[in-house]
Amino acid sequence: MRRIEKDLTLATAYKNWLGNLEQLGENHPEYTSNNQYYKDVVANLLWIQQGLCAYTEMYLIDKDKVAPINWTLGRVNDFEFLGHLDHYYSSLKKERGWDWNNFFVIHADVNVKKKGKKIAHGILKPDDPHYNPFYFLEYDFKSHNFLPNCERDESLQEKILNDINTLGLNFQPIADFRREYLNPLIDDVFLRKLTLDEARGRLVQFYTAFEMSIQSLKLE
Amino acid sequence: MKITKVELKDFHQFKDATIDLTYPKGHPKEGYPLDKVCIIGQSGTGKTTLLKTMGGHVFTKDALLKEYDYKDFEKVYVTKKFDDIEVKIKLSRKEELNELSYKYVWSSVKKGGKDISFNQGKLFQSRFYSKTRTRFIFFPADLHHEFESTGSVLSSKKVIDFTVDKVGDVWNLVFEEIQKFQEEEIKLKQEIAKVAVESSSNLTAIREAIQKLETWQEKAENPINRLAEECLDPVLKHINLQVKRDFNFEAKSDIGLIKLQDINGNEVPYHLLSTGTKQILLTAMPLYLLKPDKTLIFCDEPERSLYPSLQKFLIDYYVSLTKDSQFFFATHSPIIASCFEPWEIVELKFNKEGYVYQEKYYPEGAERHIDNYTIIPSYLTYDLMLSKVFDLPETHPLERSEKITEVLMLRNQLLKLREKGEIDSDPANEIYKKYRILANRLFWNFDIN
Repeated sequence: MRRIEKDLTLATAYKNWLGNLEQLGENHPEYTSNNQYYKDVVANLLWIQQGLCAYTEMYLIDKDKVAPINWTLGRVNDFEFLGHLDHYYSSLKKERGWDWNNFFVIHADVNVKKKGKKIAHGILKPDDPHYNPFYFLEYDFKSHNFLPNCERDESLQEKILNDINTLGLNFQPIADFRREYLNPLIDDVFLRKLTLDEARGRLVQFYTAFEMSIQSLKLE
Repeated sequence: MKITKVELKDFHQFKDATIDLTYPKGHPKEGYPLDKVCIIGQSGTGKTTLLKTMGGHVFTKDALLKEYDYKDFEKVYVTKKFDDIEVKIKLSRKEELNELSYKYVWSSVKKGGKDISFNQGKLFQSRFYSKTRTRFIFFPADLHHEFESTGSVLSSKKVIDFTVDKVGDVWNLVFEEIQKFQEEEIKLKQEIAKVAVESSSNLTAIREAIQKLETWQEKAENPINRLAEECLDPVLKHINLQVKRDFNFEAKSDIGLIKLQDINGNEVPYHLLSTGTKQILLTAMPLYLLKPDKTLIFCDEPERSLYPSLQKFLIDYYVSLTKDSQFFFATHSPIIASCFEPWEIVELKFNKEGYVYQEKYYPEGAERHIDNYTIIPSYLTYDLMLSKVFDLPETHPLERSEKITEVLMLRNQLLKLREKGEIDSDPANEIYKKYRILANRLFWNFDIN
């Protein structure tokens, strides 16, 4: 899960609309995907998320499809995408359903799993200024699971564990896919069929897991 | 006669599907019809319909025409092969004296790849059929579990459809033989009893009578033993049952019918047998007793009511009971499907437009060659069968994923404490206790560095 700079520079029509609501102290209208700004929010997020799921880094869309060139007056041209718009803190969905800080675009499977009872502690929030994947996480390249960094104290590890599970980072279909995607690349580096830079050049997803695997295997 | 190809155009959910049922290039039997075929696919993709249609035969024609219009079949062709003769068959409608009739007709006939006349083809076909007895056997998914008999002589039927035919009727094939055997045994035993009663002091006469029984027992082949050894016991042993071979003939019912007993010798009446056991009896016995040879055998959902360990060997078992026949199975079971080579699996899927197509296990555009197959069921765990063949992305519950993350975290904590030389400290022991409990519950099925 990479750190995300939450720049709201493309969906300016939504930004103005949200700003007016905040200024007038009005409640947010009910959250629905039929809202006129829904796709703008999604497109802006996909652009800053580099076309990846905000939590799992799974490839969702070619980011060029939502690049600035596809925007006019703060509105995006229509586009198809896979994934769901997620409210990081689901408790805010009712009252503040259009809060930019609470939005991420994520893989549909992850969103389905996130509907459970778990609540994120916010330790692993990609846009948190203190969030650093290498500080909070480590990667077990054998099982292809993200784990709490064992250098952190145990109570923090418990919280990180909760957030890993809440965000579905190790949800089986994702972990299986991560294994199938990364293993051939990591193995090619290990066998010296590819240089590290060549392997990096081929990556289109799971960047953090790749780098952490390389570190664990001391392949740098 | 075996099926080599099915073409379905504008047939219900099939827009345009051609299903090749021959061995692929690179296979020792390249180009020959597959010996066994496994049809899988989501509910509604038409597995049973395909199973019935593939027969291109008489026994399901009426049933199909109840479900579909004749016009649905206008672009449906089934190609069959016997020796080097290949015929393409389609359903045809004929109106005579204001009466409609439907039958399967040959739309083309080839010998060695070259067109030959219809009459020549028929001649070759009749020669081929003279070497066969039963041509088709169909086991529906909802096989009737009562072992009843109507007296019908199944061995003389070319087409056996257990939707309407009774499995109990196959019993007639051995009933007389068993009855005769058992009556002879009773007769010889009665002779011993008679000698013993009438000449109890004549030990020589008694010995001779016993000798006569023993000699007969040595020479006569007990049909129940044969049925038990060659057909039923190999499968019944997996469920702790066996065919009862010793009878005391105290009851009239001891004559003729097969009986099962548990491993302690306690007889288990038919009505108390499990549904799965009945399913095995009702499918295995016809296959064994009808002795299919060059027969097309269709079996819908063979896994019904069967425990996984039985499913695992079911396909090889069925095939072992037959000779040079072609099997078609439609199944939802990954265990059954894993018994097949990739080219033997016909996986049906819906495309985005809602039409059914066959998922190929080699890259699009690649040649249908054994080297190009990317999914080989025999290489896969059942987890992988479920995810890669049956498209089930989650092969274990979410909670397992979470617990694996947790157990790896606990292990990392222990490794850290070991590095610090604190592995025997109280906090380490607490973590260790939690770790071992969780690891045992996960059956240690996670990677440890």
